[in-house]
Amino acid sequence: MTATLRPMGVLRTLAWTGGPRERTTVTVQHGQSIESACREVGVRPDLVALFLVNGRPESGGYVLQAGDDVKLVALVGGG
Amino acid sequence: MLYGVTGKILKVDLDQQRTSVEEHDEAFYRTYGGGGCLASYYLLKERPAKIEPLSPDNLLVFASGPLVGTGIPGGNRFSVAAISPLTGCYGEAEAGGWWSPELKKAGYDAIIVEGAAEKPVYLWIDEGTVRIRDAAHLWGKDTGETQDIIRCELGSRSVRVAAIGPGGENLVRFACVVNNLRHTNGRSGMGAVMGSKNLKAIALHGRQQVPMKDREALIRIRRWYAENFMDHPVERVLHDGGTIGWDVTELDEAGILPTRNFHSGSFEHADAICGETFHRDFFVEADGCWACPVRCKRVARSQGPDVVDPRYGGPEYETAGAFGSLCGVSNLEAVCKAHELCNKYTLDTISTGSTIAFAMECFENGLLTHEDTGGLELRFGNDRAMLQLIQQIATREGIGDLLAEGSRRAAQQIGGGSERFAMQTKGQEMAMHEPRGKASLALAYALSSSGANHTEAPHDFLFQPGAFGVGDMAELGILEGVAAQYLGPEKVRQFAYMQMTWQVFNTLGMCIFTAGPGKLLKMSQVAQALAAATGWDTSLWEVMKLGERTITAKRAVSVRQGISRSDDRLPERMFEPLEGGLLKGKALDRAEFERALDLYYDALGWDPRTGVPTPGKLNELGLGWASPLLDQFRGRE
Repeated sequence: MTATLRPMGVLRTLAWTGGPRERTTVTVQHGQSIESACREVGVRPDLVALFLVNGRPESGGYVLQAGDDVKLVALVGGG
Repeated sequence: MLYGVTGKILKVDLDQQRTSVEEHDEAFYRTYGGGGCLASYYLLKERPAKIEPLSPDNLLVFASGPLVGTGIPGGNRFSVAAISPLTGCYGEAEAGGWWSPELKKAGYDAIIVEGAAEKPVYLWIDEGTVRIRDAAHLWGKDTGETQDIIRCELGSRSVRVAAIGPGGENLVRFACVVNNLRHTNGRSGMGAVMGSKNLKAIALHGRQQVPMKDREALIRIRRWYAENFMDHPVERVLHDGGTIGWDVTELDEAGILPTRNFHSGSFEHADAICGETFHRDFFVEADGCWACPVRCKRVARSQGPDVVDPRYGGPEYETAGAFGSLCGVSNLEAVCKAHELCNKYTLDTISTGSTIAFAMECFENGLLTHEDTGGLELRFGNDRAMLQLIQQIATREGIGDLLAEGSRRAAQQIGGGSERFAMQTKGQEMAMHEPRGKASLALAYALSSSGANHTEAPHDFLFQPGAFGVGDMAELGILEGVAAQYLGPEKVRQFAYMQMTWQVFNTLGMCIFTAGPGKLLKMSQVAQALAAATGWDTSLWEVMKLGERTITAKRAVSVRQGISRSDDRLPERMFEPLEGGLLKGKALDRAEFERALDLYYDALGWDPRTGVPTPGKLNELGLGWASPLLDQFRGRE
């Protein structure tokens, strides 16, 4: 099954994070978490402050379902 | 022999038009460092309570710190501090650039200005020699014109100039000080204090090498930083995108991008003002500060219709938020122009944008009319009106004269319930970070001695469970992350300790973007750098105590100006639901907020009824001499 990861903002635009890219469709293994999928596509999960699954915030341990659309938002800023 | 500091503080009496030098020993610098702690020392020692901010009685302090000029990345900052005309209590603004290292090379750790000149003057400090020069020909000039004329008449383009423009001259209560046209001591109205003293600028030149105890150790730290910072995700983000590159899109997705005067947390035009759009359409180059490889600043240019001059740099995130989403403006070129105007005229972008947003909300609610605004259609989204108002505020023309007083005073004059539209604490407008989504900002805004200050302590998201910065807190004894929106006891503890780290940097002259939890340099490395610079047999413990001392010293200054717990407030809107975005419906809980304040006062040794530091805490911090100064304030709540 597949799910879509969409890195937002700095995760999308900065080359060192593997970007620029609009979205990355990943083939999800049964029971695979968002964090695990992030690592597969080269996004550090400890930089992601917000995993928005189909518009709802979830934890990094959320188990992906077929067709899930996941926005990845880094909140490294402030100050 | 002293290392790391010059040992000299320049005192300037503008009433008498004379200068003197005060020398201090190691114990003084080890106790008060520089920056805000040194400034607070002088405000407590040499001034009575209840000073009128725009009177000659106010002291205006320009203070570097012991790590300035050491070559440590970020060791290039200084504070400008005084009693603030915006808040009436302790006021301070930090800036980077090249001015602070030049001050030390010119022979001084700090400048204390008292009194007021009869006519406009500027200070010229050249290799230790101080001259008070006529500035009548500079009065009325913007910062670019001022810098050009001063450099020409002094015969050198390498002179570093910190100046005020019309905003400071006209005593706009949130006027700032700008150095080298791109680095601003933005907050608290320090530019107005400078204007009240008829002090147009301070020009510096120096070549003195401040002795360092172990220069080789400092070089090793500097080299290590240069070799490693691009592999550090936060430093890399700052280098590649600046602050405008790391906040707009992210905060909007998280539902905490301040929109239309903090009504909503999401702006439908966020993409139009985000970092990606900026870098595509307006970015010229990166810029930075002395001896720092991060180069987090951005330079903007546009050919029009709003021509943007790159001399003045470009907008940080705060400016993009304040003149963008906060005012409902989607025109990024207008935002860049607003930045340029504020740097030219010396206006704090945060307070200016927030005060304009306040005025927009007043207009949309019928509390200001076309007659009041001189015909301006002062609605959210009207970027023409926004740019026009910036000019009017700087020159105090039309409604600009009212808005130049800041949103709190303007609301008091407008009445009609407009106070609820002023997003301020203690009179200073909130920055572009939403307390309903980042709980530490609720504490920072309410508790900062200078009013709403987003640089009081690190923000929440890097320190949530599982987040990147959690491991960096371990050396402070904080072993677990705390959720961003949580305002319970664990957040108070995290906030108090993290606040101390940023106050350490404030006092040592270090930048929060290069060091501390979540950044490359660890606190223990900062302590090592301090030891290498000064020769002090110091430790992380002593350094953290310096941070704690800074917090309480600033508080003591504010207490003497009449601040108490009753002033440690937030705008009522923070206890009302956000109207849009991911966090729609989220509001702060008032009881939880008050409990957090109780815990914080206890933690810092302040009386929870009054917010006044206790005699025992002042003594423990080595500030026991200040305790009698606060006695008359201990009964107030």
